[in-house]
Amino acid sequence: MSNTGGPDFVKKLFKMLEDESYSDIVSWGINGDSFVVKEIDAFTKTILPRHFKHSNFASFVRQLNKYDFHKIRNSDDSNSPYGEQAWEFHHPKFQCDKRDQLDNIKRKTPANQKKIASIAVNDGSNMTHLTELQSQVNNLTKLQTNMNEHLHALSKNYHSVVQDLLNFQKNMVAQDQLMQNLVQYLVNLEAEKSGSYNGGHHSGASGENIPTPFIPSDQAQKLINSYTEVARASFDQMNEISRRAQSIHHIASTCNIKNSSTSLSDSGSNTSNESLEFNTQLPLRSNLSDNNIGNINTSTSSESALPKNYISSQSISAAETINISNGYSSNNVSDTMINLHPSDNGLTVLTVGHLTPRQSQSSSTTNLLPVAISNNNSNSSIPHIDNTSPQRASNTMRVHRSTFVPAWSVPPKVLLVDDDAVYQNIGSKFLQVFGCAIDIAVDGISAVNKMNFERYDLVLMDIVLPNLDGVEATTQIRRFDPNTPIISMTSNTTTQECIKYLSHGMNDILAKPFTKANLLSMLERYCMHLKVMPNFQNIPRPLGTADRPTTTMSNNNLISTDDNLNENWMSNQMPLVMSGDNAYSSGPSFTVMSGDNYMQMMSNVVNTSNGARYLEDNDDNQNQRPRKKPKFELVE
Amino acid sequence: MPSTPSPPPSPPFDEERELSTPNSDLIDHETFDQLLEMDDDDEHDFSKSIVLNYFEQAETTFGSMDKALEDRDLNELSKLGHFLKGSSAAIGLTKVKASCEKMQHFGNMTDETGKNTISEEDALTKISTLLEKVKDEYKEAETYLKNFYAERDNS
Repeated sequence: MSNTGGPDFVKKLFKMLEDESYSDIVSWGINGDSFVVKEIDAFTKTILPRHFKHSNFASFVRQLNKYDFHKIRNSDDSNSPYGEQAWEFHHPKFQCDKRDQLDNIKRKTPANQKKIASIAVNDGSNMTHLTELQSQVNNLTKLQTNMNEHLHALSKNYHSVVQDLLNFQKNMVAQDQLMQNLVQYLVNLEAEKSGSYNGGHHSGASGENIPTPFIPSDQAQKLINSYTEVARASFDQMNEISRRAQSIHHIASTCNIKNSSTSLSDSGSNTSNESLEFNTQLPLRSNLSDNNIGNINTSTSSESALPKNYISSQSISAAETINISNGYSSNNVSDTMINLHPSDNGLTVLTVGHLTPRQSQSSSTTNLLPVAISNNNSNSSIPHIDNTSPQRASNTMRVHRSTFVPAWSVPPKVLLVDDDAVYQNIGSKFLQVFGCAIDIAVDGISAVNKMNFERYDLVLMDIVLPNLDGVEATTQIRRFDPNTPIISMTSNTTTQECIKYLSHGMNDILAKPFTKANLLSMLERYCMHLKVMPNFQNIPRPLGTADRPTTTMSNNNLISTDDNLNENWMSNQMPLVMSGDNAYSSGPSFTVMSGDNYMQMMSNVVNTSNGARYLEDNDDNQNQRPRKKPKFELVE
Repeated sequence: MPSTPSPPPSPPFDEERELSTPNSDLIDHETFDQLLEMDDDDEHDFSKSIVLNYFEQAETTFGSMDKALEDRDLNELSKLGHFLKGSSAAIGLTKVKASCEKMQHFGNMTDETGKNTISEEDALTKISTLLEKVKDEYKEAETYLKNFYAERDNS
């Protein structure tokens, strides 16, 4: 072997070339700076196995390449000195006589080194990239935190806004109530005053006799009040009528034919105007029917103004109206006029007269009050209307009866679940006064069943119930009805219990024994969607001439009423405002509205809004008077 | 409803004034007045029917309580106490209501605060004393209410 270093392969190669016996097959080149493989076949078969332990020429060439040997190509024009087949290899340091240079022949690494270098470079760039990413991540995290904080702040703000809204709402309700009470108080004051002027017979308008600074606002308050009255009276009468509906078949049937324009009457006359059929009944009084051709006059027992106005505005809107004259009332002294108004959401009771109590039969003759009613086609003076013992009316008034009926667009349907008959009765009574349709379940199972078959707007659920308690009933109901508000009525209002109720799907808690106010607030909270949104802008304002003794409307379209009516109205309405059921059960007859002041307001509305569809606009301007959808299925 | 308007018995505000003077611990007038407010007229038809209804219910309940006590059924006694508590509260019968609440607690074998446990024997003894007391309180209330309506009717 050799005493010099260098890679084994190079040494083997050198040694192989030193062997002269192979010179025909492989030898140094002519200049000694290259070597030539002359016979590839022989080289592959004999020499390679001997020196390199393989017989693969290609791999030998590859090996050479690795050590940076280069094949010397023969140019085409000069013949190779070693023959066509010869392969000549050259390496600058591989020379015949320079054995010591073999050390310097190294395996080629540049490519690898390059790679490594590039990897290093890559690593460097990766590192910078990484830090970049890292900082990006950091930035993003920071941003995220900021966003979160911002969101937090926003939701906090949102909550406080909601809270404010709720408070505002509460305040609004409270204000409403306050207004109501105020109005009530003022009206009562007025009534007392006028009562003293009236005695048995009404004379003179309050405006004349008691010129107070309150008058204009009083008129407005009267108006507002009258809405309340109408609302309550409507409801009461609906109740009354629905109770009687069974015995008076035609009423029931009329109500069922909801969209047909039907007039049913037992007496009186029908005047049809613009698809409005109208029926007047004045059994004990002179009938105005022969005169009411173009317009419509309604005379109910103690007032006529409002119904007439309702109807005239209806006629303006050419709405279909069904007037039901209660057959029952024709036998009585009173009339009941119900206009079923098939607009918007089903039927609306627009005007309800009243069912005069029996007392009035005796007093009616003595208490007739003249009212002049004029319409555009004819002026007919209608000897009007009894006032049933005004004295009594003012005497029975109760200040505390100041609840107002919320202005429902549709009366909420309430399911009252209680096994206690006392609560059933009180609850239904309250709900009835609030203008709700009521159904009662006496235990949990029937509550679940009822919920299964009917849709309610609100459920008042006692907790301790036979068969299935309120909590479990609620759990079951929630399986098929996740939405209907269920209020827990309970005397057990510890925090723990309340949490239990709420976690079982109840929406709120109404402590027992509940008060009227509590119940009302629940109703208003959970049946808000059924309320008519008040729009105070459209409330007719009283004109400055409100206290004129007699007013003739400029358009002759409305009614000028005797001032007495005003008084009449004042004293008559009192008990009604105070006690909802007086409408049909007690002496003072229900007055929807009356007085020239109201007429003026009405005419103002009609005139200014060019045939304002007063009733059609109910959703807007009817802030106190609910649209009643007559539900005759009211369960009591 | 009479066929002639009955002469107003008194100025409108008097009836509540009359009521609120006596027996202020027997009856919670705020609650009871609320019922009276719902009356349609001087007949007090509504509130009277409620009260009569209550009387009926209370007496039935007392019967059940007697039986439950005999059967030493504390659970039932608690339930009955709760039931009568509710309707008494609705009328505003403060005393009866308070006693019924106690019975509810005793029935659960707790003292009248509902916090500390008592023995079954203890509970039954307490209830039997209490039951007599409630009945007395109820009688008192019943008499008062009956008088109240009798006065109304006569006037």
